Amino acid sequence: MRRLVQENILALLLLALFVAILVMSFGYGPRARMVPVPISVLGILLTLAQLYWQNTRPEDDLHVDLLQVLTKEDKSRPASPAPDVPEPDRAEGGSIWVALGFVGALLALMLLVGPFIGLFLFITGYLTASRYGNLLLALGLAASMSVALYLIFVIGLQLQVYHGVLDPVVRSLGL
Amino acid sequence: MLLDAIGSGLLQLATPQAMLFMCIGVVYGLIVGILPGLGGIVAMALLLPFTYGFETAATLALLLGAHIATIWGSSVTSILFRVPGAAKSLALCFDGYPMTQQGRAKQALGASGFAAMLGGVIGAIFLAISIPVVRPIMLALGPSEYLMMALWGLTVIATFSEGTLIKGMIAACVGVLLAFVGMDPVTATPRFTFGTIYLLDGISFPVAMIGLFAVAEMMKLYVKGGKIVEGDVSDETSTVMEGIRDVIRNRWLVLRSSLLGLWIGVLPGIGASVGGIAAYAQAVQTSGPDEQFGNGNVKGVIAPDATLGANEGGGLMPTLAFGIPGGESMAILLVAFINLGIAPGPQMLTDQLDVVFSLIWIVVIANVLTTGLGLLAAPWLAGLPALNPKIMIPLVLSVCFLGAYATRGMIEDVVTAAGFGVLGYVMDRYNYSRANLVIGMVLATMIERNLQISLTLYGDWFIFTRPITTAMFAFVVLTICLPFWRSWRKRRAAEARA
Repeated sequence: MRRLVQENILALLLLALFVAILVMSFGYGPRARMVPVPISVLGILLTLAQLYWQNTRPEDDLHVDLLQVLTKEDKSRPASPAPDVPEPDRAEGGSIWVALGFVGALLALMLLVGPFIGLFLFITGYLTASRYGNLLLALGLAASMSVALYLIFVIGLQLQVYHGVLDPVVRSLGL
Repeated sequence: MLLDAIGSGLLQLATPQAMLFMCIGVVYGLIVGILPGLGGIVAMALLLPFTYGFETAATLALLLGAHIATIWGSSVTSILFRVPGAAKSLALCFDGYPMTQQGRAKQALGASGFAAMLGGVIGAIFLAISIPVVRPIMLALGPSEYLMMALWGLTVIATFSEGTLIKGMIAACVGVLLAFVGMDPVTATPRFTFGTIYLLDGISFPVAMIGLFAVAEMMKLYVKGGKIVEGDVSDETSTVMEGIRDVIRNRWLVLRSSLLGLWIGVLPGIGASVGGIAAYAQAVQTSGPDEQFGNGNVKGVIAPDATLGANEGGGLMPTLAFGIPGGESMAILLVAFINLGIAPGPQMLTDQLDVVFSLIWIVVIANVLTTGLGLLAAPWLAGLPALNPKIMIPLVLSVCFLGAYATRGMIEDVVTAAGFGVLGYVMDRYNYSRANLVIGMVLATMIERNLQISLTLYGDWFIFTRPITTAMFAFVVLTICLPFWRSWRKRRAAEARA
């Protein structure tokens, strides 16, 4: 998918968000909506301006902003340098869907079995799947990390531990 | 009387128990400060139950020492991982993190620690000198002036969003609106809660930051591949001493930033979050025409850290003189005062001046201790970003999700952190400034609260009926116009060269 299409989709989502907030704000009292309404309206105007801008300029100028046009800067000058994001090294980099997957996996594990067991399982699984050493090394690192975090957060900082959605099931099995 | 109080304040600290408690507080604060999602207020809140039964000076040394240390601890994570340990350390991500990416982490940490120490010492000294002068100024400021301060904080976005102005302002609008999720404190109206109890308390700011920066950065690291540090870490040529020399070379910047931090700390309720951004902005505005920021300029580290160091000394003033906390951590200190039988109020600046100066001495000594320990650990800390990402990603993600949970003890916060992580990744990929979103979130409630109070007290035209407010409003307008004026100057210069 071309970059311009992606930018347009994102801008349209933002526009929908601001419109939704504006509509919801009218359901509140005058004082409660005093600031949300003008901010939403400002957001809508800015997003429309961004949509107009990014669709009327060549795609390679996406990082040049309305500011330059308003002040009539020479268009032949190089655009403001884009943030220095290196091109992903295809040999080393991964897929965004996998990245979303492991964030989701850690989240799911913490919700199901609690934070500490969840992170132990996640670290073990991640290190094993990424082939960082063998399973024994992964288990050792995961266990060390879990114990260290338990000592800091639970013993040191008196954190109340959440046992996970599956805790009643585990207890009913007598484990 | 002033000199007697200064000496008496120092003598109260010259006990083995007080010095031991300060050392414990500093080490504890450094560790807690480095953990994402935790910061000064958590560190102090957890120490509070352990402070009963000890002498006053020792208790204050423990609490305030821990708080001072967390400030530099949160700076470390901003510089090394682009994860602000607290909102106040956000500005350090702009140039501190690029320095790490360039293999100059030791220099960044050295500059950060030394600037924070100098800022703390300068702030404490000027606080001591300015006690007689500050009180009438503080009494002259009202909610309309605080509203202008918060609006100015938002308009500072325009200053360093140059080049992506529209996207930056969109991000700020999103941030402001996110801050309104939850119960409106003025009208008790649940806003944008969708009927859930969890959202009634609003979105936790540390949780949002963990997601926006830490989780998003780990996702980005995985997708990008390689390490955080682009160069080979064995080629790192920077040293801690380089950072210290940078601070000495930029001593006037340190002084300006320290005074800025002191005065922002003096104003109750503003907090250091505005101070760090304001310090960065003033470093940009006072820099030479050829200087670039956002690409690893050490001044972008020195200015915010000096401000943060001085801010704590300033925050003592409204806390002690009026019982109004200068920031959230000062609220904890206020509780400790009451527990120790110390009543904040104007008499603190007259009859109990020795207690005030004890606190000032604690700020000075704790800053020196924190910097000493921190700089000793800096060469080791600088190696952390070069860890293999296969180790770093699961460990950092786990710590961050745990930190999100630990913020309020609510598992739903982990879901929020994950959601903000995805949002942060998308924002970064498509050049919507996460920093602007965070700034919007921080300043939104201050803007709304002070706007409501100002309209009630002074009427609809309060901006023009109060001279100080009018002057500050004019300054806000000037700040908005600054990027346009700078671009117009560049165009004129280019035309002249052509």
